[in-house]
Amino acid sequence: MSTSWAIISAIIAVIATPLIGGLLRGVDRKVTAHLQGRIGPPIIQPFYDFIKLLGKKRMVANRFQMACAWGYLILIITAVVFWAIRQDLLVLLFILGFAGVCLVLGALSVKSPYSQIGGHRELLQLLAYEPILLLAAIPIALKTGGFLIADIFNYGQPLLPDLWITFLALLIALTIVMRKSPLDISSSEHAHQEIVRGVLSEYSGPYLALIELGHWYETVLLLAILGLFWIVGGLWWLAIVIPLVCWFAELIVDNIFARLTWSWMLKFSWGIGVTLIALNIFFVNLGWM
Amino acid sequence: MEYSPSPAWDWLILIFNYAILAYFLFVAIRNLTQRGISLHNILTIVLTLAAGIPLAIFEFSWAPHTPLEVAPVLYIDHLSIIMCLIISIIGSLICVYAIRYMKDHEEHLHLEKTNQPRFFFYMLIFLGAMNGLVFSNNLLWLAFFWEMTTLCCYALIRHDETQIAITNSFRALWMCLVGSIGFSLAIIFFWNSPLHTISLIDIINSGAIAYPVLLLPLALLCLAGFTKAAQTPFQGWLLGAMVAPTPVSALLHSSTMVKAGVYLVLRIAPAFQGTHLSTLVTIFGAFVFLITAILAISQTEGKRVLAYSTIGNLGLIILCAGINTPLAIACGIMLIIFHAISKGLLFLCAGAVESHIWSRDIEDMEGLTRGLPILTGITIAGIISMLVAPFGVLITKWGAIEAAPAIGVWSTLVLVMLMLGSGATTIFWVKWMGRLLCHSPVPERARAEPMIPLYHGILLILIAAAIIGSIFIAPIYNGVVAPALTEAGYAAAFTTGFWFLKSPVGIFAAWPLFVVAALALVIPLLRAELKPEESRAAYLCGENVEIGADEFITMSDERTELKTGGFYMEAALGEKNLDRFFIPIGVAFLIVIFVVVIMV
Repeated sequence: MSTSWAIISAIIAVIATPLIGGLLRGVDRKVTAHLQGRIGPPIIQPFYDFIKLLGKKRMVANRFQMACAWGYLILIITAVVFWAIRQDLLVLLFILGFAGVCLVLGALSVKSPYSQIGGHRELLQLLAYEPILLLAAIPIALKTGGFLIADIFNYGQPLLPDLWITFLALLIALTIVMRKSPLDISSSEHAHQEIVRGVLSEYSGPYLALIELGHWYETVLLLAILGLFWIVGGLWWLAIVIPLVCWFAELIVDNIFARLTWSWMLKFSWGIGVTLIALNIFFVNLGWM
Repeated sequence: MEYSPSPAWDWLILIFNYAILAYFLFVAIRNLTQRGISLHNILTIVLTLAAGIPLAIFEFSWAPHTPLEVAPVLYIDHLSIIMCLIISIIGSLICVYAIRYMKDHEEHLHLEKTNQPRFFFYMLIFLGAMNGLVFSNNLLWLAFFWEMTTLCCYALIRHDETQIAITNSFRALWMCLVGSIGFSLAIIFFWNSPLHTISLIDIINSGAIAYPVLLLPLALLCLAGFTKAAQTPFQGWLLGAMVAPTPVSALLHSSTMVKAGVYLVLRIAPAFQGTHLSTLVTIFGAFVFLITAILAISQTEGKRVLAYSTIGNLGLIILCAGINTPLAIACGIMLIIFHAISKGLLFLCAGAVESHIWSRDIEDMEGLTRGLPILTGITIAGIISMLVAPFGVLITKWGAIEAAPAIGVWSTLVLVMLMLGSGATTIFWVKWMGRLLCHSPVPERARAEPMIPLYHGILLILIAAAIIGSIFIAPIYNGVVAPALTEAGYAAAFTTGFWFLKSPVGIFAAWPLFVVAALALVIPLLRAELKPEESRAAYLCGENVEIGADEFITMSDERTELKTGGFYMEAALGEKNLDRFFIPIGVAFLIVIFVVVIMV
């Protein structure tokens, strides 16, 4: 990948990702509304909301919280750029972890019971999904011979047939990262439940907008990581369709399930998610997959 | 560089070595007569004899000469130089800090007569012994310095002479003596092997592949390293060492004692490359990393969190030694450097905070950013330097993960433990930072506390070292780590174009990420101005009293104090619940190592 091409892809990624993310969010709300027998907002409503939030008067609890909102957004954008210029997958995931830490620290920096509970639960969510994401890099690296995303592009055949077990485990992580039911324990999708909006309770106005933007980036990035399982010459469109199908399935699951407890989540993600990837790594090591 | 002093020095070392062992016997017997029989003093007596008698029989009757001379006595390569720099620079900074700390400490205890001369005597002897340890090539010399660090550790833990301090000092003593037995037996086995040598460098150059008989003594040396590095099941002594004044903890955890353990394992790693022992050491390191991370979540005492984190990171270094590829060894060495800086810093922070609030409990540190903004800021920066990319500690973890698949099928188990441990690590660090940061919104900025040069100055030097060292990780690798790898017989681990660390399987670009981190966090933090009217009270369902007050109005219209707290999950993850599984597993693991080494 030449330098100029890398710069162009990075710029495209930074601009296009939030547009896709916002649209997905709009479709999400529309689909959810239809499932609940409502008409729902227009598809581009998230953009209106975003602009409205940006225009609100600034109200914050402390200066550290402001830095955390910026940190969350900029670090996720960095992770997106890392994908676009085909950098080290593990480093990308570390940066994503750092972004998650920023979000939690911002919530924990305010002495509010809702924000505190949300922050602590978000930590448990990190504990549940981070090992899955990090472990998923291992079978990919074993197959392609390196941890660079560029190695996946050079591999020449889709990873999904060999690594479908890992792919399944990643879907669990996707549910948690998207903060969708049944695993939206840190910030209830709909406000005014028992933890209000949990980790997001104390963010408002322009800073909530930054976090919303970061969340769009994050969702698309996760889908792009799922897309890595089908990066090939032929049938290239499957690299886009497969993640979108998974995303749509998440919406259905979100609407069917109620929120579960954190202990259930931890048992589920460690017990099933981690075990699945471990099996996959084991099989790849033995040469069975 | 090699150097052999005149043989008279060998006599001196021999005499002092038995003098130390005799002193251990003396203190144990004195304790026995004064306080009656206890597990600790009996174990100390038995283990001192078990370590000393075989060594004495060997040195005075089996060995062809007494004392046994080996050339060179001292051998200095880049690994020794790295260790020497860590010990001498960070160790000295801690001693300077201790000048002020001990003054506060003794004032707080209302002592009539100062004990500081004894304290600093042992602190400085400790640094000297560590330097001797990393330069020694003659295993008898190494064993002597090894005992000397045990002695200093014992004396410093005991320093305050409280009941608990004495008990814990004996625990440290007997646990380290288990390692000494390993050391004594290893020396005898090495001499009885076809190599017929106790020169460390000869043993490493021969290797266990060519001489399988070396495997058992190498495993014994690993055992010695595990005890010093407080690996499960020996973690009890390091946790107990918390009773000592904080500079002692800082010294034990960053630049001395535990680092001697991992230094030894890393030093002899080339000798067991490609053997079962190497794989077992890897799994053992990963196991310790995982369980200490989980145990740290339930700790409410700051220093115990730091202690578990230390043991976990030492496990990670041991894991690197076990993976035994150039990438892993390079990361192991770099982790020794960065861990020493960050952990030394964090202990000194904990000590400085303690001298202000007289508590070690994390819950008592709630909202400390208001009261002690500079000190707390440095603490948070220190935790960040342990926790996230692109800091040095995380870079080495990245390297360890990318190196791990090289060990084959067993890497599945190792990586699962490593990743789960990483997740748990995030929890206990962030939770602690969260408590430090948690306070009710107040319109005005926090007022900086008065600067104490010997506290704040030292802390600022260390945090600067952690940041600058991480930015310049590529030159550090080129300057000291790469030569150390070559001397140990490994290929190069990284190429460093643009100062990126580029291994055959991945790239870590540290300094660009620092630019991003500065943009993302530091600039908003420094630039952000908050007008008083933009500041809002926390959301309390509309029942707030007034902004800045830690109170809310309850249903009975009374003002009630607002309380928050951290998650510790004591019932599920507490030591009481988990140690009954982890300690036996650790013991079983060590037994498995020896069974495999002897049988296979």
